[in-house]
Amino acid sequence: MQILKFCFLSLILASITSCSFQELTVASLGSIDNFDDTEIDDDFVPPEDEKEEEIVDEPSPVIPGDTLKNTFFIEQQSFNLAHGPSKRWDGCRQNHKSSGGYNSDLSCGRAFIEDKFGKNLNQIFFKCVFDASNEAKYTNIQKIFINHLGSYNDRTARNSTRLSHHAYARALDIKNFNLIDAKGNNFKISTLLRDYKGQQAIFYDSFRQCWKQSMPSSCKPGNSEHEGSVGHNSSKLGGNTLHNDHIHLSFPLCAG
Amino acid sequence: MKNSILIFFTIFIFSFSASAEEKMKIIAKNSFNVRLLKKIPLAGGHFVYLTVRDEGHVLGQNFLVQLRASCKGEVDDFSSLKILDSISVCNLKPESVKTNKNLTALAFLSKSANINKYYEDISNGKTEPNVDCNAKTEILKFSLKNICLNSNS
Repeated sequence: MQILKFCFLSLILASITSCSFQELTVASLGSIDNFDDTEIDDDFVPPEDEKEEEIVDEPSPVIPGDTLKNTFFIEQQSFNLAHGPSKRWDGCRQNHKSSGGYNSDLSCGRAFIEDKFGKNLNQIFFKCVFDASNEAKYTNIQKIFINHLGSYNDRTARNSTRLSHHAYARALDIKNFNLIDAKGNNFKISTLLRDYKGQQAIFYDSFRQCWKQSMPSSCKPGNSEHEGSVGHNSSKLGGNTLHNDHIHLSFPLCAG
Repeated sequence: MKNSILIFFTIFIFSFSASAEEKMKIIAKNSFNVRLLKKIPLAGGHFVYLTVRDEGHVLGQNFLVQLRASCKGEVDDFSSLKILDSISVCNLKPESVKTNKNLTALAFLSKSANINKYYEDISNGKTEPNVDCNAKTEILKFSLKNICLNSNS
């Protein structure tokens, strides 16, 4: 009788183990068919450019250039992230030259920016945008809205065991630069490989080159991301195919 | 007799656990694979492959959709082909992939609100916040023009 009880309990235990592993495997796979409930008609026409509901701020039509602060708005409060402290950039401040948000040309938001990265952004970012704009013949740029794909992300670098600069909040993935001139005109500079032509390509290369020049002499070839950015293969500074749809802008560890 | 039955069941349970663990490892390895979404024959015996890499590269986008080309006919190992273009998405509807002059597919991209909430959760001390793939739709478009014109891929 005891043996039968033991067998019965063992079978229950085994089936529980099996079920829990089953759930874990489904979650780990991150199935690409998660949207089975989304019906698509054959004649489906996508919306032209889906605008999100949570639009907080839009660029004002006329930009009072002289009154704008030439900075990112970095909040004072410090946060303890997984690999060190970080501050937050509030991309919604309209009285600062650099605003922005995640995966949107309109919706602003916050992002974690490590202190030294933030200081370098404030010292050089807008100058690089301004110089690159002039070189690409976008004149009188007063302000920028950055469409980015995230800053802090606690992960390792791809195909590597070392931590990504995102894990230290020392990197920002830029999808589009929205350049706004004194009249409120918006010039969208895409960083997609497919858009790397004409004025956009000139801006892309000039901006990266300017940011590279802001790296301290402690950053040398051989140091991780010593040029301060990674782009796609076709660009002047080179890159890889993981960066066909954004510029990875960083303030690498070699910079101090 | 009792003892042998007990030993048999103990071994049975341990062997089951081991095989489940092994299964997990295999799935973890496979989750970094490149999967084929569609293979398209082009004029001249060239082939284009739309693939998806299960490991995304940017925050909030779990997958990387890639356009690859073989200018030397059909291949089995599409994962080693040159990548011509790629876009990060948080999901994609495989059956929506269509071909005409371009290659199009219905993709889902993470909303800015998801990331704002993710960063807010971290700010509020949540140790394991998740990026929700609650998404907006977008049609991905890959051009099929000029592929293999000047390439030996």
